[in-house]
Amino acid sequence: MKNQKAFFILFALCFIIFSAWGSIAAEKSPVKLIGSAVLSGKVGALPSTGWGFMDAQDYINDNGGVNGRKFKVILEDNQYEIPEAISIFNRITAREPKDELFFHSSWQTGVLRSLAQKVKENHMIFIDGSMASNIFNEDVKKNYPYYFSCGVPYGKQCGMIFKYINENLHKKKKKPKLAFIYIDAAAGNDPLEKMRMYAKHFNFDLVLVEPVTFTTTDFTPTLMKIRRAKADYVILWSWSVPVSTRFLKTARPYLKNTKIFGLSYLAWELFFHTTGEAFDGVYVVSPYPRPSEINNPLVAAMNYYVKKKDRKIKVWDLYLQGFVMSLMASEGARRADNAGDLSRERIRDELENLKDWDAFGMYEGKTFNYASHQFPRARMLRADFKTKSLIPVTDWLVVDEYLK
Amino acid sequence: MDFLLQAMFVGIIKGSIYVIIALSMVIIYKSSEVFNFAVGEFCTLGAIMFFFAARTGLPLPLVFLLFVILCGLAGMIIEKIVIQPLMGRDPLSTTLVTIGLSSFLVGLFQITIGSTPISLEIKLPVLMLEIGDLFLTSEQVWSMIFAVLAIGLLLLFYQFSRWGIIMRATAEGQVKAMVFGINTRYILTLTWAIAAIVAAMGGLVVAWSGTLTYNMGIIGLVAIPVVLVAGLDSIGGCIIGGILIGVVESLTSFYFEDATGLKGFRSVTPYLFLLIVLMIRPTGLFGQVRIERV
Repeated sequence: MKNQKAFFILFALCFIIFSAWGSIAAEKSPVKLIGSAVLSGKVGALPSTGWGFMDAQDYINDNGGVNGRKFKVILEDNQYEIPEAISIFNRITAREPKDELFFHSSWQTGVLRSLAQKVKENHMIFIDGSMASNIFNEDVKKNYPYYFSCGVPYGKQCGMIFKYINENLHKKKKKPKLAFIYIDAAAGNDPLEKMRMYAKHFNFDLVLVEPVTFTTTDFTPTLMKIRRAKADYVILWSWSVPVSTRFLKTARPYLKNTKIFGLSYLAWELFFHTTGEAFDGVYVVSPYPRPSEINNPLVAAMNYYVKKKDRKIKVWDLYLQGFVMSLMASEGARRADNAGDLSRERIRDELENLKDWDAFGMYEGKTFNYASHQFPRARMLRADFKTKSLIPVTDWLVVDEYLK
Repeated sequence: MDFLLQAMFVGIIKGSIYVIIALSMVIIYKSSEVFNFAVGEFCTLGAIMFFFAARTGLPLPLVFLLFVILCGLAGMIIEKIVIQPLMGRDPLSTTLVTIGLSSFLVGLFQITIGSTPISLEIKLPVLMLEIGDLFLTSEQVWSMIFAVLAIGLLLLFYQFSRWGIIMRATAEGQVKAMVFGINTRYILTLTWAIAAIVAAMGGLVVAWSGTLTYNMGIIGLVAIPVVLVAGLDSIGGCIIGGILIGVVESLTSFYFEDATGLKGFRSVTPYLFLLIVLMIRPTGLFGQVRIERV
């Protein structure tokens, strides 16, 4: 009897141990993404991006993961320094197994350029905050097959502004005169060629193309040049909050009759707080829904996590980018897994073939297409200081069709 | 040469901000031969102090007073903790310590105010200036007023106040000053407090026209060519050198860049100017030539 009891206990123990072992062994390997975010550094630290990554990770895992696999973000601070970003990439790709680590996200055109050869060799999929026109152009599939942008290329954004001005704002008979002000860095120089091309295409008189630096403390000389050139419109291409703020604050009294435009990194509600009334009336391009659009399914999902985790989001677009880049990655991995081939090569193909997809409701019923490795739609918005919101002045435009 | 007047005024305003920041360095150098590489962080510190002082809800003059007291205290504390333990050592050691201090302060600021840029508002009457071609925004006019006030008060303090005279005496030679019964240790603390207040004024002006960020201390770099052009130990030279560099930079961006097509050349101008000055006069325009006995 005693032996029988002992045997029963031993059997039960073995059963428990082996079942636990079995369940651990059966757990599928995770899908990993390197979130190489700008959490500190010269463009101003932007923790919102990191939270976007972390909340998307929870969102994906709360909804069953990637076909039962855990989605894991490896969050790192690249300080907006190219060497630091490259070091993060090298360190983590060497450390993590190739059949678990599929994605990388960062925010620097310079990083994409520097790593181009290496990425071509190891097939890491970059879903990136950079919207460089020199990368995300008609040759992207040939030259950068593993790079996907989380937005619309800067050159095309300039084109959208030109067309919008022609169709909606410019009433004079003379050619519209435009000044282009940009930060003298890799991303700043990036759209110059395309911008000039679109200026010609839409019959603009490009009266001034002027670089500024991250450390510029006084924009008066630049603004006087704009006045001297009698520009009707100015495009500010800056992704640095201090630069944009200082420019807008000084520009308001200097350029009373000139309309100011900005690319997507000026489409931030944060500027209502940093520049105050100087942001009123500024037109911007944005490929993303706004935080106030609470009926948008993607915004609703994000707002749920913002509320749940009591996030103090200062830059919505960066939070959204971290969130959306993770969702895109998980969607690509899910489709590849469904096809029975969870590999970097297959995920790339699946992302490229994302067609007529609702992109988590981002465009409120309108479809998403990643064939050109860039976001297909964007809107023009106008800053309204009274309501402190960016109000859409166009519908979701299909960028390539709009620019024809 | 249209906009010449504008270019000159913009240069003077810009230069006067350089002067404030550079003065902070010169004061410290004169008293202890330490080159303060953390001057940019002293600027940030000032802007942060003002941000917190403004949040008390006090009337603006009291906010300014609180700002000055806080900055002075911060300067004193930094001197007591970081600089005083190195007293009597080679000034080079202390200079190197200021590099570490700079990194420490950047980290401290990030923890204190977070990493998102902050708007610094000062509600002052609008003083826009528009005469013919000349147009200055209210912020530019106020910047100039702040700069003139800061420089003027500092000069008055140095020239006529008892403590100012004692500080000048200490700057002439610490040992001699001690022989005359001056507490040089206390004077050094006072010097750092004043230097912190002066740099803080510069930081306040810079943050007001832009944003307050934890890493805005990079602005301190502009003071280096000013100080070297002027000569490390000359307050008067610093004022002239700062304004000279501001004007040269402004004229470069208004005229030279357009004429040559060298966009962005203005950023190089102060250093080019410095190079030329040092080649002609290695001690700077107003620096003293030291004769050492062998």
